[in-house]
Amino acid sequence: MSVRCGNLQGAPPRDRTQNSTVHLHIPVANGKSVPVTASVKAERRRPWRISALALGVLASVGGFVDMGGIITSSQAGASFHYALLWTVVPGIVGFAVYAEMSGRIALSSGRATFDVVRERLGKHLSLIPLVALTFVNVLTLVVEISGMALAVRLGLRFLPQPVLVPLMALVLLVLLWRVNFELLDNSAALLGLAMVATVVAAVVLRPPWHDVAAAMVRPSPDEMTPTADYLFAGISLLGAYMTPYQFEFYSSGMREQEEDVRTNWVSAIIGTVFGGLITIALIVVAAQVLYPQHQQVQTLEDAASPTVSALGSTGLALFMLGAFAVSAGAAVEVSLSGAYTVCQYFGWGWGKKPRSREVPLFHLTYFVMFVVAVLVALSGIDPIRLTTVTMALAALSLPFIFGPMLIVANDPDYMGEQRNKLAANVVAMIILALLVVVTVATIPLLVITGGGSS
Amino acid sequence: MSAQRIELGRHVLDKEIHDVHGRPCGKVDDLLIELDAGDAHVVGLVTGPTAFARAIGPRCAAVVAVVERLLGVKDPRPVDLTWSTVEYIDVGVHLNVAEEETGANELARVVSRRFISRLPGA
Repeated sequence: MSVRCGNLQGAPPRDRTQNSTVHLHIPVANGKSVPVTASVKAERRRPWRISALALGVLASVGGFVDMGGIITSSQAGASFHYALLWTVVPGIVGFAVYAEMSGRIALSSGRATFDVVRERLGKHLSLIPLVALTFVNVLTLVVEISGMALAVRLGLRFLPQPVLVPLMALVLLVLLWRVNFELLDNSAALLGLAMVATVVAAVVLRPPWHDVAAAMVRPSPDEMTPTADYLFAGISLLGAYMTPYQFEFYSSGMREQEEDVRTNWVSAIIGTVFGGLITIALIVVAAQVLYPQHQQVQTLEDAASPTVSALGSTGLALFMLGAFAVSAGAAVEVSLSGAYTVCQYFGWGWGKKPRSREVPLFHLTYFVMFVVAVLVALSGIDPIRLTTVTMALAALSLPFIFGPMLIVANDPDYMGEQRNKLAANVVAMIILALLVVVTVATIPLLVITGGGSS
Repeated sequence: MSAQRIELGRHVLDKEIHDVHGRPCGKVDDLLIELDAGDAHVVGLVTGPTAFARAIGPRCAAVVAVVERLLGVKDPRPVDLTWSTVEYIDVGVHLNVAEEETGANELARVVSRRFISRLPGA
């Protein structure tokens, strides 16, 4: 019997790059001592892998921009001009810091985030993030599937939403079941780059860039009094930037793709900055075109209209393709992420790599998520309103996910030398504090604004 | 290495259990302790959805039992693993037996047999 958490207790420090064997004599319950030999695998040192880096970047772009991001950013620009641009900064920083932390937990403890969270917090306390995350994951899946259907309808208006929603869900399920995970995720992320059209549109529309830059660092511009609607829109934006499924997906995906720490870190940063650029562009184009006309974003068409007015039918085609792809990518990620979370909590086999019959409960979990999501989507709920509310709820759930993550990332038993440095902790705490304020404010705001309806 | 102590809550409880082939078979949901003339010995681990649900509360246990029966588990019950099946403990609890011998993955086996393996490509 030996007990080890992260590093072997009682064992001399080992060279992590060498295979090593550790011998221990440890007493067991009946007073005897049992010799134990544990072999410790060497960590692989790899050169930079450009392909892994590029794919990581693409995935992060896809992670940062999804249907939630498209809708909330366009709404923010249309209703509040540049006044919510500042949210992009904590959004990018928070996403990068916690995505990197989640990946690092997976890499140094050898286990995915939720597995560690359950062990560190115990089954009762960790039930809170599990339930919060699963609830938001299912709602996010509804948003992304509806988003795919709405994107198709941008071009093919005659197809009714109640037909498209189950069709999209079925296509995704078949793809998830049959197609290689990396191929699926990477093609969605690659096609999602069509959203760069909004960046081109932003340049074409010639906004006053110095005002844009100023608004990025000035939280409450004079032009806007912070009403309940303004705060609610800000909260939804934060939820859209840091949608909870991304962090679990990041750590589990890392375990499946066997990436290394540097690739993890660099791809998280670069990808998020790219994603942030697209988000800024979405806010700016909506502010240029929709805000002067006092036009609200109530449909995906409204969100597309600034890009279309700048780039014409090419803009429409690219927006349609981009919105479809980022929603599809996010739907794949959120359903896998939801299944990872549940399986890791209960200690069931998980992953896309093993044969399906070997990890049946993993597949069952996302099947069930899809069924529930389609039922909710077909219940007649307004997909755009649902998006805003879901993103606010996502922000609400974040402290319950980030808090445990921060506890684990600071525990030397799990993290060894890879535990959080002071700087990472300070930034992470600031983001967490902001989110706690947001969390406390969200529920009353949901009531006052009626879910952003006014 | 005298005074080697294992804090059960910190080092055993809620850890993932792996069988002799490294396949996951649930978490350590509870521990069995035998009292013997003032001495207490840990004699086994308890795992499985039923064990988990019982630890949460009676209502949860009732719901989980219904779900397990619906999925096809005939007699949902907690799974006891005797301490002698534990090979070693590091970031997880590693057994010296295959999961089929423990009965720990009954739910997964039933779901695999009844649903998943019937789908094309499983």
